[in-house]
Amino acid sequence: MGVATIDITESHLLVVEGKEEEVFFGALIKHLGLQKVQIIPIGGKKNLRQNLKILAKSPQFKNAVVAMGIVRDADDNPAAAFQSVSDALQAAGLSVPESPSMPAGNTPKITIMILPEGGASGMLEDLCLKAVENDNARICVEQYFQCLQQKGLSFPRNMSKARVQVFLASRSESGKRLGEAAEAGYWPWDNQAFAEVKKFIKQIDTIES
Amino acid sequence: MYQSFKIKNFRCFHELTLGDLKRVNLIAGVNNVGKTALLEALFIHCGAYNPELTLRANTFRGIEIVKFDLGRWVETLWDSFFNEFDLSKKIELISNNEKTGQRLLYLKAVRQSEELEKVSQFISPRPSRSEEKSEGIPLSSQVTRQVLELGYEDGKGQRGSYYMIFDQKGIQSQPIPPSPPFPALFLVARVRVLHTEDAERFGNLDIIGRQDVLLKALQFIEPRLRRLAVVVAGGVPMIHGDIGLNRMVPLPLMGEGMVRLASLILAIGNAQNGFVLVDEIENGLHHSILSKMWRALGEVAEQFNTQIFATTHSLECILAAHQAFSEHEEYDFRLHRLERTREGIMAVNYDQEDLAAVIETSLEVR
Repeated sequence: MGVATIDITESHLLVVEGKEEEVFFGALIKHLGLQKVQIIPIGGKKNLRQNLKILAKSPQFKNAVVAMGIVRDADDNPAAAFQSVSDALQAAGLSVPESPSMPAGNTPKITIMILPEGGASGMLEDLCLKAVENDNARICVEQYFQCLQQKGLSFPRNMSKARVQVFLASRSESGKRLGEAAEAGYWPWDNQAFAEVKKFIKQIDTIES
Repeated sequence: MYQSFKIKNFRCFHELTLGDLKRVNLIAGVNNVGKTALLEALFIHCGAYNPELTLRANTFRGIEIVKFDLGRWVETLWDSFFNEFDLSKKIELISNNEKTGQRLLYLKAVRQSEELEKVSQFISPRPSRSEEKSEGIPLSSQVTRQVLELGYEDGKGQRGSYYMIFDQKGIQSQPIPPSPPFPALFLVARVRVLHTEDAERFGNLDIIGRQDVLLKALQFIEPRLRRLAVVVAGGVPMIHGDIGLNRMVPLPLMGEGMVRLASLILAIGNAQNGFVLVDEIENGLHHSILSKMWRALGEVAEQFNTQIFATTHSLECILAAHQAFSEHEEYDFRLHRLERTREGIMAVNYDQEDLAAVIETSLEVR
């Protein structure tokens, strides 16, 4: 039986899916030098509705939270992903934005971002891969998968995650996961690929009560 | 069993509604948010006709002395029950049950001279019981009288008023209130239930042939326990147990957890069709037995049709209750967290799905 430990301590929340995203966005927020954004890992997509309801019921949520951003992967259908977050917000009695990156409501003001962004399918891993598309190691990553294909070996089910793993295997300290790689500075935050997500987080940070 | 309970102008509550009540209700929340006050409100409401229960509620908090100044009461016994000490507003305590309907109880400080005149007809010329043993209750040299009116109205159309009168003669309640409609027992956080009281309650269960419920509950913790009996040693009755030694062992020697669980079970068994109110239920219990405790309490509360309201600061206690009731046929349990917001103190309820999500997300609930 787990023991709950997450208290709401800040007025600005960034709601992410799981531990990996928590570490990744923690590194990004640190890079941006933002002090008042607290990351809340809410769990997988399957339980988003129930878990968001619990977050809204949490001690101090009503009293303290003035802004909340929610980040979710688009997967195969960005519109469906946005709709699923909207439904969960509504079920939790919170304001529902009309479109991604468009804030809605007051105390808290809610904003949704669907990754990779710009209405594309995919996930956080795709955003990271886009940021390193000009890295020399990316050629080797693709060659690795071509080799698998030529040998008639089976492909991983999630190619984005697999590409990230192979790419990270090329770094000086291999074996890091996506979030740990962010902490290690392996993702180039200044790349244009991260521009929208940085803008999104800064926008949450600047909302006043 | 109450399905909802509403409080107006009582202690720290301007207005609070506690909904979705189940057989077992845990009350959580930070310090000084009104958890104990909620139990006190329930206790007074359960007493139905007896304004003196307010004094008992104060005693639970260790408040037994009345301040006075040169014969002028600066504070009555019941000032602290009124929200923001504002005696101009009525306290209202309202329960709801779909079968028995609404039951309203109000408390009102009688201060207008015409109202006091009306009450004077009830005042007994005899010294009150409280006056005879008025230790700790200083009396004024002036003729000063404080009156608290308790009114009730139930779903069956019954209504009435009782008065607690406090003057130089002491305290008296008039008319003499009848027995409450159902029992309510309050287990206070700061005082352990006396062993003699537990022994008496065990005897009460024995009389109706139900002492087995305690034995079965305690066997959750101590499987060696075969038999329980009240033994009088040195004139003091105490529950003893047979755990296979060559003699009966006093229950307190089997540990604090056994004594605490026994007190809880005995209170439930002695409050059939009524209520048990427990402040800081986890006191004296190791986290490893909390699930077993909830299983035992749930079963006995169901058998005796007793509704439980208990406060806690312990997350382990909350999660253990969730686990125990999830394994039970019916999830007859709710967590209610009291929280101070801009609009006042409000209650947030957690059902089974909510608590499952709490475990998944590790989000705080207390």
